Amino acid sequence: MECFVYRLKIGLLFIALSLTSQFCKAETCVTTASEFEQKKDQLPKIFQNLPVMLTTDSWLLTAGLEIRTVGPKIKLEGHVWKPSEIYSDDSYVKKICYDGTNFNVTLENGKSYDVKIKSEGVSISGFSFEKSSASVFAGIVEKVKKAQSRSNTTVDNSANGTR
Amino acid sequence: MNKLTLSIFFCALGLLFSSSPCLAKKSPFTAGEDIEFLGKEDKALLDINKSTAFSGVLTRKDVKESDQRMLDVYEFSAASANKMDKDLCQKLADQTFGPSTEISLKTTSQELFASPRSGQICEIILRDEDERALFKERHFFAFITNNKTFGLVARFHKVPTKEKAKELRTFIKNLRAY
Repeated sequence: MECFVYRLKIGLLFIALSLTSQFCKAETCVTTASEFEQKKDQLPKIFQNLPVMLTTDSWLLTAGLEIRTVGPKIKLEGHVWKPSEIYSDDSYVKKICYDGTNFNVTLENGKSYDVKIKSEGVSISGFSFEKSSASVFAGIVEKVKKAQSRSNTTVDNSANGTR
Repeated sequence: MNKLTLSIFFCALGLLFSSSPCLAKKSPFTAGEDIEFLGKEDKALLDINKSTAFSGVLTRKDVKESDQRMLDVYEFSAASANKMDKDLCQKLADQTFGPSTEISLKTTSQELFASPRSGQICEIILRDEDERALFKERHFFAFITNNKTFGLVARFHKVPTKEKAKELRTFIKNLRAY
């Protein structure tokens, strides 16, 4: 009986410790460009120097994202070309938090979403993006703009996604 | 491969390569011109930067200039009002872009104008001071039609001329919800 109680205590202690470590997992949050500079060492390597460009280019999705600073603010710019949509947008960031695994991005308009960090890029809404150079990003932006001017709508009527 | 598997395969293929206009949803509005609506449903990346009231993108099919062709559509289901005024308009703009006193986009003007179809329409102009901004100016229109409260956002790559802004107002005035 004593042995059982001892094992139970050890078990409970173990559970308590693992729960504590989960709750105490340090989260790094940045709201401004200067805060980003101060805390960038706590962020994944691919995000330690802004601007960061992320791209993907396949028959299903051509897209480019850029994260950059605008004065004291952080801004996101995105260009997307999928068979059913062609769209460009930019938004200012209110807060970006990193929990050691993923980013949570909150925009000034209140929208919030998760960005999964991978070894050489990220995954957003199930789509993978790789870290890219400024020239690759510029090429993707040009490709999306051309597709948009061809189709002249948010719907890709021209080529059913053919690149 | 049996017939069932084959038919499922061809159905999937058909859906994937089906003509894109089939993906466009029915527009929430009628207008005095040809329009097309792309709803945010199942478009994983279309609404990623938009606030929760965003419902899709309206395209004016006969307009060539891109800044006048596409407008973001917002539907404010929680807003219960029967008359548009400047306070409600500001509240809806805050829901769309974030609180005006805190956000980076700067409000440069707010104006009410009359529409024969939807009473008072409010227009708020927001400017992005970022030199590399994709859109220098956003024109937010809020109005109530058929007991529904809508917001429409036109995004201008360049600050529009008065004539272009007026053309856009004329289009908005002619909208009516189903």
